[in-house]
Amino acid sequence: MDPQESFEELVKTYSTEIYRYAYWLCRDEAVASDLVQETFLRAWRSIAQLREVAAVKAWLITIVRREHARLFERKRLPTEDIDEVPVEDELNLSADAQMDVHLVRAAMAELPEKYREPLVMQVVMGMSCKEIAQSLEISESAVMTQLFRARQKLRELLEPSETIAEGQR
Amino acid sequence: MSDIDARSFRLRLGADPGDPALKREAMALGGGAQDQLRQAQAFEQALSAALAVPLPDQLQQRLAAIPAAQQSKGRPWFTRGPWLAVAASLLLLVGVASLTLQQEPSPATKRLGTISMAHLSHEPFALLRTSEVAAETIDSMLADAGLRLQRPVPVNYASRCPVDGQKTVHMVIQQPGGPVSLIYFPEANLQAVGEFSRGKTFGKTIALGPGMLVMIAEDQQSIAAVETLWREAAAGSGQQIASIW
Repeated sequence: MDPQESFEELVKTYSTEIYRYAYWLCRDEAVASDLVQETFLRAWRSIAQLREVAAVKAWLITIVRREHARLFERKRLPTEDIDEVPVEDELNLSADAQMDVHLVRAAMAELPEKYREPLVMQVVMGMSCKEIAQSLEISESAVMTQLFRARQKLRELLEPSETIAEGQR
Repeated sequence: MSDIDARSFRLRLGADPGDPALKREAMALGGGAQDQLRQAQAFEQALSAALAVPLPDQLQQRLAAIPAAQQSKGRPWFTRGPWLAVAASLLLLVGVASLTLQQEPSPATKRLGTISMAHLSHEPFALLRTSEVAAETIDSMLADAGLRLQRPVPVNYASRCPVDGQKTVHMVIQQPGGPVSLIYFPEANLQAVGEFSRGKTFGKTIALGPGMLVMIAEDQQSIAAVETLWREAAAGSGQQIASIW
């Protein structure tokens, strides 16, 4: 496979996951697109060294995290209203489910970054606790704790709206 | 189930509900463990759907175009097509003439040029943007910086960026000769009006509206075209305070 084909394969395989990861890091569509473009630009420049398939995902994540941190050092980014983010059509969700999606997204946006990031790595990127621990450079047990707390916090955030919805019925 | 087992199960369910071992454990534990597992799995489905934000239009195409864009950037100018060779010879003539006539940029121009170029180096990905930013977005960003255009200007990238203590608007406009980066500074400094260059990159600073517009590109003709575009868009706004170039 020539470098261009390898790169196209890389884009097809990882661009969706990487974009979603970037989006949940910064919660801004334009900034997430920029982060992803910069990440893949670097991937293209290093394509010759990216032979180890197993390492590619971790490498891409490292670049997104580094670029995001650099952006945040320079400026505080305005974040877009989570209700404005469209729901993925391909999922064919019912109207109720779409409302749930918006509620969960709003709750996600309120999660502290230390909880949100490992959760996105696990749910979006399909990473194991061990892989997340390596990426975040923390212990596996710390990852487990953060993931547990992330879900616990999400449930707490979602509870009031569930109660309201039930009360209205 | 014992309290310890139940607690350990709940912790693992909260941390990694996709772990296949949990199903066996839920069956072994009995009690409410299987219900907890079902609830956790339903929650995971909702979570997974919520996190699946759609990709912006054209993002994959823009990513797939990176190798071509980079290769064309890396090629010598004389391999990019015969029309470019003609344009390059014309530029050479203009360049020689302007080199002999061009004055050393003022310290204020040099300073504005240096801080602008330093900022651009932080956002190289902006140069790859090809889709047009909505005119309302540009209007709103420029209005925050005090500039109101009389007609829209096509812009491919726009971001509010703090530069040198000012709330600037960083933009990129794609031109046939390559991308032109622009930074609009809300504070006017007429002493900074001028031209500057570093290596193959050229820059021009003009007063526009209440502030300064810095344009940077490798192709001077593109800068000239963008300058005309912006001067025309700002003309008649009653804000143009200097027209030196």
